[in-house]
Amino acid sequence: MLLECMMNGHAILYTGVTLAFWSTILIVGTCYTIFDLGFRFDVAWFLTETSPFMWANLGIGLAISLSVVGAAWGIYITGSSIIGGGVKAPRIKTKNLVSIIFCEAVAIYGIIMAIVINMAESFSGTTPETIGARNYQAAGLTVGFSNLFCGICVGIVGSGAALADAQNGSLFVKILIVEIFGSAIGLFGVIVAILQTSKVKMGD
Amino acid sequence: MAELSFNKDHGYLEGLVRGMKAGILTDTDYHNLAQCDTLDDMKLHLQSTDYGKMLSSSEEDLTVSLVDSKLRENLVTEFSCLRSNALPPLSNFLDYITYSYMIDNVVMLITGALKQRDVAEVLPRCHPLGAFDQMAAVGIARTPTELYSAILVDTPLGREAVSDTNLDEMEAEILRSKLFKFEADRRAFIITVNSFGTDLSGADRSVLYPSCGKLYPEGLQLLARAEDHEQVKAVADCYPGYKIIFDDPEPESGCKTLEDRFFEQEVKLNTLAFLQQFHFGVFYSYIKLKEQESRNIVWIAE
Repeated sequence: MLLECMMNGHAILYTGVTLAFWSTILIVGTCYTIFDLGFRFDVAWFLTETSPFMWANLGIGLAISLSVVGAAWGIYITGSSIIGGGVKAPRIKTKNLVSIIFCEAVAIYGIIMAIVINMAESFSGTTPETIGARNYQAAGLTVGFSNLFCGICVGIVGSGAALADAQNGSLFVKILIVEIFGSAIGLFGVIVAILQTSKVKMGD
Repeated sequence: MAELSFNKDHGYLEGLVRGMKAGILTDTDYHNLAQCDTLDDMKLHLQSTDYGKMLSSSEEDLTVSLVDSKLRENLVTEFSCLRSNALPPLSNFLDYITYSYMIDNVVMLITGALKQRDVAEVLPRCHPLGAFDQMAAVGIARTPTELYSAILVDTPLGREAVSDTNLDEMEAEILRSKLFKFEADRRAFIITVNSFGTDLSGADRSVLYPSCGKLYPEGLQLLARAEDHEQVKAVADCYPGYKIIFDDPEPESGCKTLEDRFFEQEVKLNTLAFLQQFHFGVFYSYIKLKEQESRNIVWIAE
């Protein structure tokens, strides 16, 4: 009867993995408490002993990877609609590449931020108490997530623009304005991230 | 959140369907077609639309049934183009669309078998969208049970709706009614109106009614007890959408039959489906609109 409730492989997989994850955490936590080993779970040690450069490089990684995920998501959403609409209305093909360029711009913001953080990070500092590194990580997170959502947004609007253009050519420019506003939110992320990195001092 | 992942599998097909929908005949096209005097004229006009060279490729005499079958062939080609490129769950959805045609075909074959007609005679009259592999073999079966156990159990219909207890003509109406919501309501009304002259009692009629749609369950009980047109109208008055359909027509505008009004409403609902992106309704609506277009063209041709 249980097998009838779960109808496809995906559901079984997700429930299995979730169950395994939470049961591991529960069992490990219970063991730590029972055997009075709670002191081993030390957050402060983790934060102070890890190298600050790990945080900075994590920021670089997040900046570029999340931006690229957002751009890629947007491009495939727009691209498939352009191809589908272009079968019956071939004139939309060239004009709608502008939507793809807007999505691509999002990935470029990500790479700019990654390079900026990379250049700003000086490897001379040896003292571990640099809170500046957390700024780099935060900058990476900022630009990464804002570009992720910006890319998705521009992608969905671009898909609508392609299909509307296929039906009625005069609609494209109007929907492009919506897309420009969507693209602006990625820009906000870059601006804030630049501000975050500008007042960091790594090392002495 | 559907828009985030819809285009991954179905974006191309949705764009394609919307492009095809843009090619459906408009008011001006119908105006031109209505002014034609002969079928050749119509053929000429149709060539400038999306139908293109389809009609001109045949050398046989142009009759209305030929036009009808060519239009149907066109729809089947487009549908199979969509279906062959579709991934689940869209492929399942498109299969469900064909089931209603399959049921009609099965019923036609069964009645043909019951009347001892040759299978080869009935087969060309089946709707091509509902074709399935075991169709020709249906003629071999002698009884409904044989039919079910040999053939229908392999088809998708056998899995879904048919069992060997209900393979007679009345029950086919129930099968048909199981599938769609607006169509379900519509069938309820048509069954009622058509059964006034026959021997179907109220209890028999209520068995035929579908179990989904806006009329379920109170409206259907009222309809089962209705005995003439006025009472059916009274039932329809409770539902604002159906009230308009049953209103008395003005004498100057000419009499539209009930079926025509239902067709109009259906077309309106189908065009509304195109206002949203990222859902499967556009595929169903496109098929229905294309069918309506074929009906219109054939009606003009006659």
